[in-house]
Amino acid sequence: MTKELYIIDDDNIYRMIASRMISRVAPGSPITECENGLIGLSKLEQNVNSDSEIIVLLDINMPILNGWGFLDQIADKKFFNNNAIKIYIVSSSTDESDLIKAQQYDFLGGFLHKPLKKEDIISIIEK
Amino acid sequence: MSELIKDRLDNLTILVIEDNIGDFVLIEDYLLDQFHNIKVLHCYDYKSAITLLDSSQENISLILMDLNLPEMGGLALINSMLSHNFEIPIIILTGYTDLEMAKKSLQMGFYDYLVKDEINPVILHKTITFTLNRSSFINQLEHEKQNYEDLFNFNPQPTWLLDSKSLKILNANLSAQIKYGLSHHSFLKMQFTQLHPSSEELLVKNNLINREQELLRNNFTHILSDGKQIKVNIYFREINSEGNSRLIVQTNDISETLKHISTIEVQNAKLRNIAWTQSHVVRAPISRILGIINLLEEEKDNQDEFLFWMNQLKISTNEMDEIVKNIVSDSSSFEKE
Repeated sequence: MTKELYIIDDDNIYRMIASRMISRVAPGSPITECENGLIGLSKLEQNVNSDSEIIVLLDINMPILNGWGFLDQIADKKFFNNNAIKIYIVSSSTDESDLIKAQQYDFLGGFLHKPLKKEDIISIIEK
Repeated sequence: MSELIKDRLDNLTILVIEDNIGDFVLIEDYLLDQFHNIKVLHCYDYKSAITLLDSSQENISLILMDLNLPEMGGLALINSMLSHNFEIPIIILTGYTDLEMAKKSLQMGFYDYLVKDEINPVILHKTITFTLNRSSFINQLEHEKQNYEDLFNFNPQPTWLLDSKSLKILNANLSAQIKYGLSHHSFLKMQFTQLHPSSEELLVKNNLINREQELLRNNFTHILSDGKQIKVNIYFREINSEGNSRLIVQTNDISETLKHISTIEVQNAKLRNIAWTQSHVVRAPISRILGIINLLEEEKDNQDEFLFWMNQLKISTNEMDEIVKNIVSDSSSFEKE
């Protein structure tokens, strides 16, 4: 199954780094870059009938709709009925409270710390 | 029988003030017969008795005094003896003719009287023992009373005694007078609630009158005589004094504590802010820098890209430099406070 990746993060340098690394690990996988949670949601909704497996790399602190707001909306919209979407938080935060908060979303794929390493991306994509 | 009284009975010094030598000899006989280790002193008249008592050379346990002395007798003698306030129990010796006066002397503070014609060794012994007992208890009570008064007056916390119904101030200790800048006299004209601003008066009144000893919100305002306001905790207990219900009230000035707490809260907010910045803001450029370095390692042969990423590295590093400077200035503003 093809894998589509969504990078939701307001830091455009990070998005460039991440998409470059993904291209090296999984050449040819479509990558969509979104500046905040709201853009991420609308791009996902356009693509809701896709057959591909969807992987989301989600930042926490973003303007307009942050990572938590994005997760709340995803939970409301029940995107997970087909189980074909995996969401990973990727944050530079080492704040304990963020980790605890993340555990409340049982559908999360994991919590990764920036900077993303090549091994992180390999393990996400090959899961 | 307490040790103290036993000791006093074993080392008895009795002053007999009696001008009739026959009466004296008889009483001395009885005393020597009834008590071991007794020392009997004798004065013939009022004046020599006072001289002896004033000199305090003898540790006199008890006085037996004839109610009719050469230069003075009756009520005048009773009043004169009382005015000296020797704190030694006095037993009157009297004849039948002065019985009424002897009875009256009991109400005035004398311990007992003996009718001379009825005295025998057993009665004398019993009367003296009872009198020493009673005077010992009364002295103890007086000392305890003084101790409690000292505890009240010299307590470092401002303390008041109130009537439990009207909340009128009946007593205010030294600390209250100094702290609030009001004299004892001024306090006695006030109700306790008048120390509060009018907005609190009713609340305090209800609390004190209903004896809500665990005050829900124990944070009140008191106004000092110079108009300065302080924040206080109030503690009180109901006591029974001379048959009346009273309240003992203490206040604790918490103004300084509250000020410290609010300073600490401001500092805590700044610390939390610094911690948040460390976690979110500082790590953002660091993680970006590390990410770029990871990428450069992967793409070390691509020269065009290399310059682009080097420039990004510089931007991120400068950004971090600014952030660290801000944290340093935040932290140092702290120390100044």
